[in-house]
Amino acid sequence: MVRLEAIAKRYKKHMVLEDISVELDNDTYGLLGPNGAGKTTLFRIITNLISADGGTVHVDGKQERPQIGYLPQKFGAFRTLTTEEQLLYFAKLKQTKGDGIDWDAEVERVLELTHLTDQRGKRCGQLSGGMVRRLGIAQAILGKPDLILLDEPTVGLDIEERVRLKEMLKEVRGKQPIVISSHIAEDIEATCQRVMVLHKNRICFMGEIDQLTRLAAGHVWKMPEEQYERHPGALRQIGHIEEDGELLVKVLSMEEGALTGADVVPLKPRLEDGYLYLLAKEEMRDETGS
Amino acid sequence: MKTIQKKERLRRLSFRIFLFAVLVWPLGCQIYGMFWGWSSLSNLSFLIDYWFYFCAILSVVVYLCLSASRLEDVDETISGYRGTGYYQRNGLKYFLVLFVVSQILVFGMMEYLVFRIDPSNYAWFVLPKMFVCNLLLPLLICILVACVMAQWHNQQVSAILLIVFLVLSSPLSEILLTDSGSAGVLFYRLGYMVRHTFAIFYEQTYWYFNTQAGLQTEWTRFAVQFFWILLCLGAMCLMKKRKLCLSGCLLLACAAACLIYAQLPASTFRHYNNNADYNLFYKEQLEASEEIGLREEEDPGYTIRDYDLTLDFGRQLRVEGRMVIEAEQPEDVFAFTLYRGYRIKELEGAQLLTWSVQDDLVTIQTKQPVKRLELTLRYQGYNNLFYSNMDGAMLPGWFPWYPMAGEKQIYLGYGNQGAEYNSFNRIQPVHIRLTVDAPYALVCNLTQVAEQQYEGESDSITVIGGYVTQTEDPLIANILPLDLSVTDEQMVGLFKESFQQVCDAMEAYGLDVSLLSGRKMILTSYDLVSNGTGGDVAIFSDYILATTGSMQFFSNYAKALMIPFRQNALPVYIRNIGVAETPEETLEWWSLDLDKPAEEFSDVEKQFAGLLNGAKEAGEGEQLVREVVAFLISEHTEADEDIFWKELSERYGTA
Repeated sequence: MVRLEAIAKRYKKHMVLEDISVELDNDTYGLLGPNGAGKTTLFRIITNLISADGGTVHVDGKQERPQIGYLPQKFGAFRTLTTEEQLLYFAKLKQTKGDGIDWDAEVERVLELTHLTDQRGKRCGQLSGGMVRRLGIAQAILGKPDLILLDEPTVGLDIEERVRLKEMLKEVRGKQPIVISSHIAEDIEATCQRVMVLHKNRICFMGEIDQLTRLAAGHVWKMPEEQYERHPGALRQIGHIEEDGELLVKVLSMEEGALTGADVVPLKPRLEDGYLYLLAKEEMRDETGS
Repeated sequence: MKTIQKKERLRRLSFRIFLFAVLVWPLGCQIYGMFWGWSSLSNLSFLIDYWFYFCAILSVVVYLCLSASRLEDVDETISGYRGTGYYQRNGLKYFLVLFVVSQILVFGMMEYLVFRIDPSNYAWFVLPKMFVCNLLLPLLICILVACVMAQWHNQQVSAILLIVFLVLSSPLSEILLTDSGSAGVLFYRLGYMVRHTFAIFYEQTYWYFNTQAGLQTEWTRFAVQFFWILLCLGAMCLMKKRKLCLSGCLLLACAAACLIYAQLPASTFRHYNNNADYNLFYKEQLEASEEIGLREEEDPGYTIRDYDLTLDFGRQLRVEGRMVIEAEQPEDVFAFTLYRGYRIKELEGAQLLTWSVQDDLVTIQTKQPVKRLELTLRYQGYNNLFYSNMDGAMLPGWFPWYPMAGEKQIYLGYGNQGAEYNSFNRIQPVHIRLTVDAPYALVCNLTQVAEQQYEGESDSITVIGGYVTQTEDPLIANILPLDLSVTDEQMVGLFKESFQQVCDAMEAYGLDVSLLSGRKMILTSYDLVSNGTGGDVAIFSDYILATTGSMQFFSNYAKALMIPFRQNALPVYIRNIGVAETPEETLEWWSLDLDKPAEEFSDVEKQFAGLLNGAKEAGEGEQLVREVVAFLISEHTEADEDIFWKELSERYGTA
């Protein structure tokens, strides 16, 4: 178990993270949050790339620095090394005395797991974007990391690669906490068991995927454009749905109770609806100050 | 797998080399020096000689270790690893910690040596400054520059910039950028500016370290070093934050201020032989095929009778004062010589109409002819060789750093035998009063009448300052403690012994020892000597000015007494071959110089060979040597020379 305790970070007067305290079990966590919420900063603090103004990271109650497998947003590899050499290089850097790991076998394992065995002799500079991303995942899961952090792992990947990545993540989960930061709720829904929402410097939600989804139950509707225009201010448009050639508006109602009117139909909420509902509610709370 | 292991091994190896180099090498040098009984200053000087090469290797190692992961964006990925890849993750921290530890150890060792061996208290105060300026800051700058370059995103650009930095701060650029006098003045000035900006290491030039002003520790050099440190810190700050930030901008602004301060005119004791102005003069003279030697001075009909000067040693020499010109007959035009490096800011007098400067000659026009002219003047400047700054002063009396009546010859050229500053310039013995503001000990040929005040009658003004100690000895006025490997008293004893040997040599030639006696010896560092052809010793009316390294050789005194008139090439030639301690040795010496095929002889060599062979055949070789040396050393005119050589030619059957 990894525990983050009271992590705080401030850039001059601007508070980026405030009292972040969470306990992470060996589950896969999705980290959701709007742009600038501090997701990458939190990852960088955990990996020691930048220092926090306060707080600590503990692994199973130990004080020593955890071994972290980290896939940064911009993952770089030595262009002149082959895929295998690159992983061996990372293995060398992860190696600690008496860790009992057969690193050569470990490299073989992650190559297979990330379906890069056929690319082992290819130079990193010649790999496609998806392959580089897989290589990034491979180095992150290499060895026995105490914690795996994946920052936007699906960015820039085509559908096939995204599916493959999700399958891969399913295979490695359960041995240590995995935190996946992403803008794409679908990816979180498909790969994570639990979700954290980072909003305005702090974690405003931590729970099961379903819990977050259920927050929006009874608040998501679809309706024709003209119906939507009759509710100025009360509804928030969160998308469009095309049905039988007709374009319908998907809205979020912040008030309790059923909407009435012709062609106004309730929708079963999804994770992104729950997320948007949560953010909207947080904003309303901030505005009213309660 | 083999490749990666090889690369990994190489990186670890380079890191270990760094460890070894930083800790073991300088310490090893200290232990080696201690074993041989070197003083700390000798040790420091020895380290400094190789410090550039040491720092260059280290900066490349630092760059390779730190840049490898950063340049490929791997840095962020490995930031969470807990393995042994310490040089990627914590490289800078390790380098700086090692740097501090190693420097403390080396410095501690040096101070220990000072305590154990050095007899001079100066080293306690001088050593830290020299150590910081010559070892600590250059090494820190190299590590910082390598760190900044390692953070640069474009690997090619950063590697090229690092190489450019190392080349420009290397001794190679000393030669390329500062020894290019023939390439034109503008090119030279630009080269000098660039060189000066990169002059973070001790500049070797052509000389041993200056024992009067230490190891190039002027504030201008510190300013250059602070410029680099602030520049690197500012760049690091901006790179880390990836945007303009107040701290980064402030650091860069301070760096710019340091650079401007460093580039402003200042006197230093670094000089570049090929570009020293006497050598530029020599090149011009060779091209113009002008006559060689010293022009017989014409009496201008007036003289400066009274000097009352106030000297201020700052970045450069500032002089303010009053002088009185007296003429035998009423005159309306007066001229005095002041080296062109000193710019007159103010020149005033009751009768003064106008004044103008042409090279080194200042011409004054009065309203009507006068016999006496009182002038107040203010000037400032410097010469590249005869420094005058906050660290030291070496202003020989024969150099026109103060006004000398009439037109004086500043340079002496000897055809293809080189050039030098003319050490035969004198003024008429007059009353001189000096007030000196210097942050160090001074030795002057005049008598000290009060703190910072000197007064007396002399044919010159010599001011020597820096790490000098006045002695109570009647013969030796001062010593230079940084020269020492023995106690002050022992050193005075050695100097006196050397001087006695010179007097013995005078007697061996049958010369009048009173030419040297009755004068105190003022000793300076070897940097007084411009190019080795002369100036090691200068004999004035009331004192002898000599460099500590060459005052024991009779030949230097002989040179100082032989006036190299330009009319006849033979005395100049003989003066340049030199005179040994005894006539026998001199005869051998001269014969050896002519030991080559006759067809290779120049005109003057043919003439000299004729004389020498004639005298040897007559069994009067040594007699010739005695006669020639005695004549050249005696007071004579150019006309006397003609008669003398003619007589000798007739006697020994040469044309």
